[in-house]
Amino acid sequence: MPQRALIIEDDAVMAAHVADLLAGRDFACEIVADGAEGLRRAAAAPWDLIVTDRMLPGLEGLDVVERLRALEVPTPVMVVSALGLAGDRVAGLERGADDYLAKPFSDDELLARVHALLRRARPEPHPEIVLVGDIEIRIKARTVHRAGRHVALSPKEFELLRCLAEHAGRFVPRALLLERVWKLRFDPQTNVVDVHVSRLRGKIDEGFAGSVIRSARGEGYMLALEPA
Amino acid sequence: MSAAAHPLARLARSSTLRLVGTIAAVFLAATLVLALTVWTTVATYIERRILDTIRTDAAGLEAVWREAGVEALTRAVERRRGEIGADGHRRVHVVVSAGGDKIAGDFDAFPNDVAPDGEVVRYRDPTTATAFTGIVRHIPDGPDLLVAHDRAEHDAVMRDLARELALPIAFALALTLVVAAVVGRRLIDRIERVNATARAVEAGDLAARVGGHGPDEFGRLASHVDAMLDRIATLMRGVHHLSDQIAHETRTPLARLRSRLEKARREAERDPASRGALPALDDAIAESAELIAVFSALLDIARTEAAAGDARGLARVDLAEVIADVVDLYEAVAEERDVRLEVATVPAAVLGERMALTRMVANLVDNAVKFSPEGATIDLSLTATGGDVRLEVRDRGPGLPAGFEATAFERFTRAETVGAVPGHGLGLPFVRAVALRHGMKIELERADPGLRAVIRARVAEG
Repeated sequence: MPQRALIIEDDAVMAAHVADLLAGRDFACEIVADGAEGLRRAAAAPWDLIVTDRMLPGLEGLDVVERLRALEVPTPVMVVSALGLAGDRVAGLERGADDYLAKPFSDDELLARVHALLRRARPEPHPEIVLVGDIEIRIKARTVHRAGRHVALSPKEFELLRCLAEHAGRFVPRALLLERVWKLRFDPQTNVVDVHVSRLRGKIDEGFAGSVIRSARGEGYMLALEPA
Repeated sequence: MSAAAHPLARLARSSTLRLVGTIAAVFLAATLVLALTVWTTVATYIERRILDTIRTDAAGLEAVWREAGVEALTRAVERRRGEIGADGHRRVHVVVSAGGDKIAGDFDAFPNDVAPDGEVVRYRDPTTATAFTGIVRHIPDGPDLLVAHDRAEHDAVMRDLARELALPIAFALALTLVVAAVVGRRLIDRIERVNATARAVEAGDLAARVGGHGPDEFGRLASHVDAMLDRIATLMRGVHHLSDQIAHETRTPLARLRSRLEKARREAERDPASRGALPALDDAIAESAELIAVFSALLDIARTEAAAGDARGLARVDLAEVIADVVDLYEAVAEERDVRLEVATVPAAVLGERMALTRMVANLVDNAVKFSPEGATIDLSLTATGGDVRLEVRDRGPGLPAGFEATAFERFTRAETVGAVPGHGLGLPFVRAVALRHGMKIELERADPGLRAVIRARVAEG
């Protein structure tokens, strides 16, 4: 059964694009262009995901989120806004949004964030062992084995691999890696992430023929289910 | 920092205090001149009265000698010995013959042997130590006369006068000091309010106002400064509003452009006939990403600058932790380039926005790593003295070309020496914007070899 997503966005092109992206992830989407109307629809039926803009006719996006939370609607909400300063993000998260994405964004970033959001929203506990292909990650013990062989990783490399493994088979944009591993919400000028990933790649692929970590058009990385 | 100077040292340099002090000193000097004039006038008057009496006495004795001879003069002198005159002064008369022998009187000889006729003499009685003023009269063909008066009364009057004058002078002195202190304090307070406001605004608090608008020149100064700050605040709001407008109006088309390119790429990937367009689409996506990155950086700078003075959203941030986070991020890149990061920090909390501060330090370290030669060391230090925090990033790269210090913080400015090192020249402008937003001071210094970026901040209170 497809999941249902509500998109509250007054820019028709943007709304269609988000709907298009989510449809690729098996979502049935509904688009509303007005904030007040969006709030009514969001409260009226259960949704799996709500994506909302901020500067909307009718009602501001964050007001929509706040009212929804006051009504005890638990649906994960992703705010997508042109207001992208750190303060704006903090305001968004404080008023009840689950994630905050600045426009313009890359498709991979939106999808990776939606993926992470839905994972967090699922009530089941986080798994203790994550298996991707022949890689075995033990979360509590913080150890990694590939094909039974122990791979020694630095704490940051472990976090990097864990984040890639959570999204295994999908591209994870650099911005998301920075946010999850280093808690940074900006892109450093030098590609520091690339260096960390290449070190991780060196350690995890040592003694194996193909690489399990692939790069995506210079924008992000993917932990492949099968080595290339 | 002048604001941190000792209050007494600052008071010593105060023009207001000097002005008030000068006025008080002039007033005191005028009072003293007045008192001195009174004193000399009275002293002269009393002296003249004594001398007039003495001259009358001497003339009387001379008349006695002329009409009745030496015998009568001797009797007259003996009669008057020790007598207290009508003016309350004891008179002493010494009469000596022309040959120098004593005829009558208190002393055996003249106190002043050869005083000329009519001269005023002052002397002390060697036995009683009493001070006298007298006049010498050499009567032609007659005896020599000395008529003298005891000065005790005169001195007593002058002592009384001194006492009478001392009280008002002391009162004037005290009053002057009190009034000078009160008026000076009031003036200094009013000027210091303007200064404190200016300092607060400089430190980033754009909402600071002087207040207390009176009708006098200080009140007008305060109201002018406040009006100026209101104007600046209005302009800043305008800039803020405009940047929000730009953010909304421009980001949306950029976002559309990008999403359309990505969609076109996905379709091209699926359709074997249009696979040839993929490299061009990839380039277009990369270019749009670049455009978006530059645009976002510009907006971040503008909005960070516009947020200067807005204390909302600021929290205590330990700069040592910020440095540790940045080192965590850059250590791998540095190692890759064979560059060492030397860190020496102490805990130092400032009031700030953690992400912005992290990005500020990251930009400085980013530059340092980019420009460091192989095998070089980058020093990151954080020191705290008193309430001042000093953050330093020092590299051993080529440093800044001469005269570039002033323009290094301008947007899109890049030194010619950077050559092939990538960048848009938006790193340092962002650093300055963050510093400005936090009321910090940033300077670039030549370190020969290399560059030293110094950020000065104030420790968070509490």
